[in-house]
Amino acid sequence: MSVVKMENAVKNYKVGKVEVPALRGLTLSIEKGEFTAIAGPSGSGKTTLLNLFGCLDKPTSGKVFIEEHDIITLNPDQLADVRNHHIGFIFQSFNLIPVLTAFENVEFPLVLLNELPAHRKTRVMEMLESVGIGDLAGRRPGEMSGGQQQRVAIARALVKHPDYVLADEPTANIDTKTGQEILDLMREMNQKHKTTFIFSTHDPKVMRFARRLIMIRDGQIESDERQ
Amino acid sequence: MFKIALRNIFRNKRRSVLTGLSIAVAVMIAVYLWSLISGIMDDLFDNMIRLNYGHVRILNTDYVKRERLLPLEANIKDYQAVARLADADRNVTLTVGRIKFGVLLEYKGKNKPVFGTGIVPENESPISHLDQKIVEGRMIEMGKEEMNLGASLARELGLKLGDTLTVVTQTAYGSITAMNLKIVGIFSYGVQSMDKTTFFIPLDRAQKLLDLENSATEIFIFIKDKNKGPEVAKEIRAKLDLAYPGKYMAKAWQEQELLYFYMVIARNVYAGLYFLVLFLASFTILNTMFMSVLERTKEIGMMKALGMKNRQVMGIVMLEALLIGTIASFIGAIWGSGIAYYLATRGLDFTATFETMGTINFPISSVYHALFSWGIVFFGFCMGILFSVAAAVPPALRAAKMEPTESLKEI
Repeated sequence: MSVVKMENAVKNYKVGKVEVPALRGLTLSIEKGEFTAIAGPSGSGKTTLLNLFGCLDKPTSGKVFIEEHDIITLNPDQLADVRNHHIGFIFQSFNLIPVLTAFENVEFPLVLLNELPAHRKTRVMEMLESVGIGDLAGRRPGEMSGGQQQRVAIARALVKHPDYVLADEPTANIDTKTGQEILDLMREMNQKHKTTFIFSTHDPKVMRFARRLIMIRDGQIESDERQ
Repeated sequence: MFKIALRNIFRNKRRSVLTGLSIAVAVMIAVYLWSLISGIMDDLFDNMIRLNYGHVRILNTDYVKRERLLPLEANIKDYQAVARLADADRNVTLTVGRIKFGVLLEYKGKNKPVFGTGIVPENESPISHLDQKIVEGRMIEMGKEEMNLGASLARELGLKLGDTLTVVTQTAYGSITAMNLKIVGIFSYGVQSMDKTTFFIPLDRAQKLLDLENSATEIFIFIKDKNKGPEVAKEIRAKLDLAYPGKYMAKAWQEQELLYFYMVIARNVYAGLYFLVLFLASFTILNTMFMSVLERTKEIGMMKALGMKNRQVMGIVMLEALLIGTIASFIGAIWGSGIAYYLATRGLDFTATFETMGTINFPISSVYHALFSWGIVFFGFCMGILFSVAAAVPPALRAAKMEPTESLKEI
């Protein structure tokens, strides 16, 4: 069963008066529990693809389905609801809220979901323990290393048990060793919680780590292999 | 959300403090300025009522048309009978007849146009508080040819207690008349229009001087509740129309055009000033919130990516402005109330300035006292918050419009 799919999705951006195509009729389906890497050179359309899968943007033409909802029909509030309920995000530069502690950052999506405080506390602590930073709950992002911050980001993405997690070059801003740990952690979470992961990368080591590797070039799928 | 907003304020402490400071100063200025202007206005209206208009004033209808010329021939004959009509009204506490006339006061070669007022001295105390304003000598007495003179006027003409001067003027019938009057008391109201241009003489002497036997030019009526002025004036007008059709009329202090004119001008000027100060200060909030929102483009994008809705994003920005605005307005209101309290108890003395300004023809006191009221302080506090929040609307809208894709723009 697919958690998210796109059919013949086209996305053009306007740069001045010129229309620049970013995706040229892409059809792709991501199945539940997959650990998928989307790779390709700069400008190949990875970010655009993630934006569409993340309900952050709408295609110029074609369709994007999340849980059978065509996102083109949804208004900004409904898109926010879809993101809130179904999608977890991990960003390249962690993007934690600097004024909140690790605990509060992980708690944030649950606050948006109006979960009860007691319930939130248990879930957040469980999640922080499971990504291995239970003891850092009270620290703010500025007081943590890059690897630790990315662990917080992973916990934040997973705490609401999303249908799938989108990770935008999750290891780009950390050293190789920590990057490997982060990938191991994502894989562990994928297996433990059966969470679907879709991540973009142009690091060959990360590509090798994926169970499914989709290569994109010039807004089209160049190859799609399950390893 | 509250936690995020509160902590965002402390993110750039110096900026928040400076923004807060400008709001606080604006609220402070608004509060003490309003207190001061309210105090000055209250004092001005109080003086106008006590010295120029009474709560309700009965006049000859012809006199109303040419009041500036003080037309003595348009007087109230047998004024006591007319006053008795008003006395019958249950709201009326006091009626007094007065004669106001213009003279050229001359002494040792110096002369000055001034206003004389014929009064019943024993009736004057509750109205003009003349007894309390005598700084030298005593009040005039009925039947005696004596006068009470304004302190500044006495100084200007070099007159002192015990001096006698000749007052030359025209009677109600236009013939020249004169009377020797002895200065028995000098008064000081702290109001230049009084102290510099006015003297009082007993009403019966004024009647004799001006050939106005048993007449007055105006009857001041004081009532229990001054806010009921127009109602009482209406009742009295009805009685006057019945007894003296078309001859006399009654006007409440609220119906005095000049007074009303001052009130409107004063209110508008002040309201303009009040809101201008707050408006200018609110620009700092606008600026600060814009900077803060633009700095957080990525973060706001991320929050929206995580599912935060536009109105929630707006809410955070507005909440930040509300927090800064509330704290700053509270501090500003305290400062403002401190200054207002000081100005209410000590006052601002402008006597020296007024002395050099020449004649001012409305009864404004030379020492300004603020009106201290918690209502004014509270209103200032609320306005400070309102302006802060209103100024945060454009940056909040900007934040709400930010695209969640911003958070992914770095591949």
